[in-house]
Amino acid sequence: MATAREIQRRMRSVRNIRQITKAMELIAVTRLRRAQQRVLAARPYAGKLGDLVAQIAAHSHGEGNATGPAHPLLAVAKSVRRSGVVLVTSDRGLCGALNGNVIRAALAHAGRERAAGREVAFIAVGRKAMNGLRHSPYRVLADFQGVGDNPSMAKASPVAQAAIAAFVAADIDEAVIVYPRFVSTLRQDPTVRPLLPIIPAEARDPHRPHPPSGGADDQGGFLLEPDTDTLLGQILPRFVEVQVYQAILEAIASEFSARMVAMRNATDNATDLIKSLQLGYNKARQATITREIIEVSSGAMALGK
Amino acid sequence: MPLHVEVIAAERVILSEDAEVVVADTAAGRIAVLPAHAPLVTLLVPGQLRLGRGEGAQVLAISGGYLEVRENHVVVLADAAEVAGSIDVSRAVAARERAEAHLAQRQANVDIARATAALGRALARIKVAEAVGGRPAPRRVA
Repeated sequence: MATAREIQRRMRSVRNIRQITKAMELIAVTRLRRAQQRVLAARPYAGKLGDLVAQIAAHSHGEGNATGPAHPLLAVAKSVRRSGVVLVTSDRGLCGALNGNVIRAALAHAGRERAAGREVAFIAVGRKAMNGLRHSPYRVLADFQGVGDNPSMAKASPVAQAAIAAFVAADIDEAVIVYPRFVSTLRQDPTVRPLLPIIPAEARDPHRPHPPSGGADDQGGFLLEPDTDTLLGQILPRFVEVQVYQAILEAIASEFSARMVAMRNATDNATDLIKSLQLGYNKARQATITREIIEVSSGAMALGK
Repeated sequence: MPLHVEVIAAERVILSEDAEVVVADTAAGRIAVLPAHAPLVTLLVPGQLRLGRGEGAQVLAISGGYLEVRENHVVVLADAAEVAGSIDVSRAVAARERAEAHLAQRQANVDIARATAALGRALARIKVAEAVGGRPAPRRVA
């Protein structure tokens, strides 16, 4: 059995660890609140931009059909031979199974694509993504790290540009984005969402309320300035950026909530461990005292004979 | 019936309120949107966005984006937007100088397009800040 001193040493180290995990938990709680607000604050822009894309795309349908799609980013490949995956993870660990789950989801998706005879290439966001892909057989087109806790759109746009460049150059025929969707503090779902080509909202989801169109004359009455092509050329890349940005924000909120839960568990475990160590220490201490009393009293008895 | 105006940046909603008139700098020039304007989608260039008339007007600096008009609803999707009062002039001036320095170098490794865009944004912010601070802003409505 361990001596009282050894147990004391262990208790001290567990207490220190508990202090750290507790502090990390509290930090994660406050950061999570802010990250959550940012996710919510960024939603209106993404929503409106989606509406706008749907509207312009619908409007340009007639023009587009004659010579193919109105814009390269709207081009749906006839047969998809190369598939791209944008994988969004955190830079840091200590957040439970979060990154592992997302990477597993991405690799599962890549495996399915491969089984369907397609080449798969990755774009990695976050250090954990890169580490997770290191031993996979897939090509990594680009790798982004150091996004930070409070990224601006400027941080998302190089990621989107990499995906767009690969798509336009036909390095990939379609792309999905995989990220941990922030559902609640206790739940973050690895989510695979199509990113490219852009499929305007109406086509994707028939239940979505149609943007209010005033009937027949609306189609002709809608003014697009300077012209449809210029607008699409500006808006579509922006739309991809926004989607990447949203995914990154969700990943950050997920990271903090996962870390919060992981650190809370760690703190609880440390508390339990300290409790049982305390018990062991008390026993060891009592055993020592008892033994010493026996030694003293038996010594006294021997002398008093 | 006034226009309902929403200014939304990628990071957050900047403002949402009613205005009689909206003046914006678009790729095709400065436009004024009045109630009952025809549906419109247009590209914004770095410049100002003005809500309302005269003294009570709200002025924002916009660094580009899109403007949509539909049924007396004006939605401005801004790449970045700042209400005139909250513009940090010294930062804007610093940004202008940085952009000008980049342009002056004209080296192969300087991204001219990016520097030009940065310069446009900085100028727009400085102009909006100056328009509000002191002199009554000149009103030129195309």
